[in-house]
Amino acid sequence: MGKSKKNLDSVKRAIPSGIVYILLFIWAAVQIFPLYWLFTFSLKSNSEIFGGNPLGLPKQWLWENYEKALVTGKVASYFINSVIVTGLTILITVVVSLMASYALTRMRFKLQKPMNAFYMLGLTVPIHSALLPVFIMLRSMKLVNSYIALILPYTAFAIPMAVMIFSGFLSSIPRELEESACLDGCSIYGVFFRIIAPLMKPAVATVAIFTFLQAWNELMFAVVFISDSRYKTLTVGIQSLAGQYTIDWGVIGAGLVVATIPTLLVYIFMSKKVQDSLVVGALKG
Amino acid sequence: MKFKASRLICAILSLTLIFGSIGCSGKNDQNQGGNQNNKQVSETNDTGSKEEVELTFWHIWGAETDASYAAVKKVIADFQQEYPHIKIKEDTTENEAYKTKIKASAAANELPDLFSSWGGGFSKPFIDSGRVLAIDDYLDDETKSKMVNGALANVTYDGKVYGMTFGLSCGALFCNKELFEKYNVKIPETYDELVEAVKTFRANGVTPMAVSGKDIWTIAMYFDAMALKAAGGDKVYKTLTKQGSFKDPEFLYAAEKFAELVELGAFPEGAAGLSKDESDIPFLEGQIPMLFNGSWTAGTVYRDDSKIKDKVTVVGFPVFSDGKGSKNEFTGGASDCIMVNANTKHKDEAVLFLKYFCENMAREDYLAGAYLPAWKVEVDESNINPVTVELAKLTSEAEGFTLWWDTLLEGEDTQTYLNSLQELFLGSITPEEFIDRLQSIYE
Amino acid sequence: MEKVWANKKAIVFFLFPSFVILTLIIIVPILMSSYYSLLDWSGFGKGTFIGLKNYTDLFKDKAFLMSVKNSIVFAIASVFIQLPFSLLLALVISKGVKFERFFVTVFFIPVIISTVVIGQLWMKIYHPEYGILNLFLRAVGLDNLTREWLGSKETALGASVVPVLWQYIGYHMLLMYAGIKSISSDIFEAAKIDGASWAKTSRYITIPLLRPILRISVTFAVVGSLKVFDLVYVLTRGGPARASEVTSTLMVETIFKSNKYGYGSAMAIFVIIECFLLYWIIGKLFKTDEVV
Repeated sequence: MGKSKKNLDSVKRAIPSGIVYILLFIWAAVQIFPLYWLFTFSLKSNSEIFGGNPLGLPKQWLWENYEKALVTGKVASYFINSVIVTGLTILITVVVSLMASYALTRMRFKLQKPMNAFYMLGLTVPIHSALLPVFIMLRSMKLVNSYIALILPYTAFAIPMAVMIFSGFLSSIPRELEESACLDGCSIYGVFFRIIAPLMKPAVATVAIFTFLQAWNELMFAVVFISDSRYKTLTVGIQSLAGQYTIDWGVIGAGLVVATIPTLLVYIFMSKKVQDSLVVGALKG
Repeated sequence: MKFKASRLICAILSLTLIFGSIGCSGKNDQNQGGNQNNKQVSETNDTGSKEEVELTFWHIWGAETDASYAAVKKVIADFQQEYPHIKIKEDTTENEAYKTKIKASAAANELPDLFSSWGGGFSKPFIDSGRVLAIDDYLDDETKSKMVNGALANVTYDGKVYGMTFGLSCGALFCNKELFEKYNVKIPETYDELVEAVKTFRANGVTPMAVSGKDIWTIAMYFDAMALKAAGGDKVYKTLTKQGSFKDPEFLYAAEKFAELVELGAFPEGAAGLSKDESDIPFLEGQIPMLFNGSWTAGTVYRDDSKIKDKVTVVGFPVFSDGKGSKNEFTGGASDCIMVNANTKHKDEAVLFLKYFCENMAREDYLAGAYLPAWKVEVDESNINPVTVELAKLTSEAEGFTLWWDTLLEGEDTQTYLNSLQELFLGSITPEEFIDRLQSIYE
Repeated sequence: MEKVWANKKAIVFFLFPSFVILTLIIIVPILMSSYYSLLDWSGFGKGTFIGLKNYTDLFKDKAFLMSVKNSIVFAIASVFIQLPFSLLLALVISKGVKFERFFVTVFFIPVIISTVVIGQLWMKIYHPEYGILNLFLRAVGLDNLTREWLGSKETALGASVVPVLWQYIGYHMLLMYAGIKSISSDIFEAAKIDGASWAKTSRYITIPLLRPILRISVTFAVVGSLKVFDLVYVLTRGGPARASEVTSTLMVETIFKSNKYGYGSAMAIFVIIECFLLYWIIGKLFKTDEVV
């Protein structure tokens, strides 16, 4: 834990830290602005948002926007669905992708290169053109209108990203570690689960964040594949607050605040895992 | 070895799935055959004991801000009271997303028993591909006599009726009386008066008319009306249904007059980058005197945060002195509709609900100020939004409605029209070039 | 050891679950799209087989070529403006500045805010009348630089690129930050003992060791740019007059508004090939580093 302190010393020596901090705080102000803006947006009426007062604090604090969003948007029940879908998507994505990346980067087999390309193919698919084919696939597997109808495609579209990140991180871990473990009589599965998986903590946290963002915010698949309100997700609920000719943007903003808070919390939790990663300890141990 | 085996399995698996899904369009015919049997089954059911039936119904009125929201809830609840054995299972989706969803569902054969749709070009591919039930057999003269003239025109394809409408909307010029009085401007009835009004407002530093150049259909609201007043309803309809020519001088005339309005500064600066939400606000704040848009705007005018309640009057689009379209011709019509899935297992029940829903929605939606009624309704008008009542009076002498171009035309042609119109609006093409592009939909 | 690495059973075990998911949801749909791309098909009913006509039409379609060009503008701007900025942030905050956690959190915020909201925010910034950009220009006396940023053909593309780049700076920063955090700190200790400055350490140690991660970032940035949709749609709908049209906005219009499913699928296949080609090229460019 003394590491960061030592690093700080080196920075202090290297660059005039005053200027760095000023720049960092200016940038922080820029980056935090959207959060402030979303919050004020959620308390305004259309005429404030689009008229005289787009950026300032609300003149009238419309807390009832939250009530409307929570009650008519059924945000509470859809929230649970989003948690279930996103949670399982992350879990499956992390496990299967980590396994795949291990085989793709560490193991040796004939079709290794084409297999790598196969995994990356998913990265290239434009999601809009995949809508109908994926819908037809889900239908033929009788999965439409279920949690799996979302978990399966979300996982599929997250795997290429996850495999790429895991492979990148794996390639920076020296093989010696596994080799010595193997000499100690550990099986390949043991190497993977006991040695590699724990070492990949920053990568796992990063993949979890990215997968969370994808799944939590996805809208098009969620709209088309689910026609039963028992399985609808939060973004769909928020979208359904918009009327045919009239959109009450403040209410939508309120729904989005509710949807953003968990994202922020997940991010804070996961980014701590990234920061705390002590690769050195594991290596020395 | 095992590795290869799994690859083989996956390859076989994927091939069967592809062919299974491509064959999906072919399956449709069998389904239709199967439905004939279903119809007989349900008919026998009708005579016997009333079996519990569940109908799925997808529509777009799920937002509480929507003027139709309460009306739909009420009509469905009333129906459930009257026909407890038919359970209506609703699913609602936001308007834009709904269009994607309903198209994908039609392609994947996942349509519900009943769904809301739009007459004209939007539904045509659904009908061409045999997804929608023709309801002629269920329409007796009594039902037809309860509807206003032309209520089924936009849902009739090749002489068959494929859906039912409940309300109609029309384009109207919403004018802020206060601003007109303040600057001593006459509410325009002719195009020349409109030009005068635009000039006077501009001279006083007031932007005359609201429009969103980003949501192009709001520009089309204006141009549709101008073309109608220049060419008359029949000619516009014939030309859009490919039985005429955009090269007729009336269309160029309309395009030139539209370009003239743009030139005169009738629309806000920077309108091309504004969404409808943004561009409506100055009108609702009482800064812009005129907005030409659909009759549903009446509801917007009476929204909580509107500052122009009781200040608004409506007129039709001003006529051209030498134009072929009259004062009593309107853009719009009955286009929002409900359709029945051709493959529904419960045709009779679905049509029963369809009729009940549309007839009652006509009344409830009018009361809510969402649509003008497409059915003959008798209601107490004292509680209805006054602008809606004014609109109803205005259109009571209508000689005809000409559907909005972007609704009447089919997908690709609609996009050609909208994209060219945006360029005309930006001034990046001339009226002649605009007409050439319109004519290209004949190719 | 080699025997362990070549354990076929283990390879199948590791690859099987993801392989099945990808086959069902990615590969089969790609094959289906490829088939659709050979049809004149509205998305309804039956299509007519027309061979490669959709593809030959694509290369004659000005709107499509324009959209490809615009997407490439996004990709170039992303790689040469956005990524260096993300890298700089990652390098600075990973080296143990005070409030590290605060910065890591705050710099990521735009990524987690819904694109609709980010779009609305930038519409306020660009608004011709009350937008802060024009207000600022007027305030400093640069009135002649004020523009209808999203509403004019000259500026719409640039005005859409900026928010997209800005929103995802934090995304790449996190990736690089995690990458730096995984580098063994022994290496940094050694560099410090040798008296290397932060700039030197970054230049000669951190960045080279970060190359696998940089490759990922570049790949994501390029592929993401070629498929960019949401924010452009909210900001301009691809307009005005297609000035900011990107391949995805055009494809969505073609498939869902114009009902040309076959033609739209050809665009999708083009994007897949384009992305895959660039993925491969990026891999080659970073190749030298794969020592392990």
